[in-house]
Amino acid sequence: MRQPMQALLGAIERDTGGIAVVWCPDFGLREWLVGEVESLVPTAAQSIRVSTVEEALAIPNRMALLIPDSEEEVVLDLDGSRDCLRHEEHPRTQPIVLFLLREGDGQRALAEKAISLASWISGSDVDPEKLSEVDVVEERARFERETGKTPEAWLSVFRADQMPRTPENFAKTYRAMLLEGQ
Amino acid sequence: MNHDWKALAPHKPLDPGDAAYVSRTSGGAQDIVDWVRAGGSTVLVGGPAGIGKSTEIARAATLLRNDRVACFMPLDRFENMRRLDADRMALKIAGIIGDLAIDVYHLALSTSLREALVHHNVLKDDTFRLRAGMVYPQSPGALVKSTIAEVQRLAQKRIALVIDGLEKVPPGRQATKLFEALRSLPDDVDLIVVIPWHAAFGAQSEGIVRAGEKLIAIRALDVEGEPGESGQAFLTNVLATRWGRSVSDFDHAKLDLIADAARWSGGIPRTFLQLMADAGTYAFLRAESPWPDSEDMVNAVADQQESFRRLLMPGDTDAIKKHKGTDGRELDVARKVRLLAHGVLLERLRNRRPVLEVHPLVRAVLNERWA
Repeated sequence: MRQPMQALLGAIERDTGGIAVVWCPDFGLREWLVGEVESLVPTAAQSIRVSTVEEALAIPNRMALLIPDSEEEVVLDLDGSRDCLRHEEHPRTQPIVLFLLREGDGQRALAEKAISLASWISGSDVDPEKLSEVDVVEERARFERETGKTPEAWLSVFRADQMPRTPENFAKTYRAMLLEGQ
Repeated sequence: MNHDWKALAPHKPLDPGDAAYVSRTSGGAQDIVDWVRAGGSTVLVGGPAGIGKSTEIARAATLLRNDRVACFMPLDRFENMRRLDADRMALKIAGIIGDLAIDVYHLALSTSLREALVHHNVLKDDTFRLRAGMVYPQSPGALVKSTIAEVQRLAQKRIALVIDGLEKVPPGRQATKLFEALRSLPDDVDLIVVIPWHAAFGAQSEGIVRAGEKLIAIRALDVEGEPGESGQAFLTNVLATRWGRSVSDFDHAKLDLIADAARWSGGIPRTFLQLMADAGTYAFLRAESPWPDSEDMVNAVADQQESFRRLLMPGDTDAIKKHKGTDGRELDVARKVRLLAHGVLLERLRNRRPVLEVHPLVRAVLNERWA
């Protein structure tokens, strides 16, 4: 079974300095998801919230969490400036994580106009609603089989900063967060 | 054997001279170069996103360097293409030609030209300071023409401008103006240009494609069945060379998984590399495994299918169902441009005739809907 945040971490990992998209069902969940991503990514990524492509491009060595005021404008700007991420003098070393509303203006712009960007992010866009498809009982049992800990026990170690920040541990931590208290 | 999945870099086209280039089984850089050398001074290049247009024209620039001053210009690496105007494009072209002339061809450009390029902020040259009070009257259009004239005179060669990024220019006045500006360049300049999606796939090309100009379409490779064996071999070779390895380094099990990815990719190199990179990343995140298993590939395919599903608009399913297997002439132009540019529909040649086929990843999505 695919884990949403495992998919997101995979998306962030896939292209050095690339673009990943998180699809959000509504504004409330968008805010929650931004917070979740902030808590999961390595400290070295120095994640920072921005609202425009210009701001994101100005910080090539920090992970830009791009939360647009205007989804269409940001998608079109990112499409038009996409290869600026490959600028010889300032190559991007951290990704841009773009938060878009499902079936919103950004999705429509990607489908209708931003052909290059849509191709770039294909497979690197994650919809956390998949979360609702999780069989909690089965997933808790599977988590415990794999880690030897309950999700809550795993998280207590993680939150006490007593666990190496490896991609695998981040992925398991996110799974634990999804299952916590359920 | 450990594999660096990030090294696959699906989003990065190869630059001119990159040793990782693999020749396509048909079409691509060699076709472009053959046409230019045969005297076709304008070649327009189109094809779906991720097909390798940038890589092919970069290779064409490399091949043309033997007999031309070939200037590769990935404009989208410097500019927001949706805001690019003709003057800015002219300045950027002048700057790139000047830079290449000095750094690669070691030509001694005149002081006045270097000053003008530095004045317009498109050339870095620390060997002199702009003279105070000096007036540089050249317009961007005049500057690019004088740059071309001087470089051609010094190099004693034709100039070939290989321009990437214009596919992102939206339809309308901006696209028309940019292509008018390109056509105002001297006749003895070879132009190889990636054209906007609407011009590559739509009947309404706003004068972008003109009589006598060659339009080279870079098509998705055949990757299914017996006819697809050479396409699969090409993609396997692309994978190996991106890692600096040989195809013989892959055992049978790995080759089987690579063939799966090739078939699912529909013959689009970027999709193939994305599938391999995603599957490899899943394997690592799951169990720090150095090579993906079939479940990892299933997950990577599912991610791609969801991405394609999100690109489908109301009415697309019926339109695809109705027009697959045809040449698409009856398909609404705007829808046709969008579906072909995304690679949802792939135009292949069957018995020398174009036929629209549904991308394998989309086929699976639509089968769900049609069921």
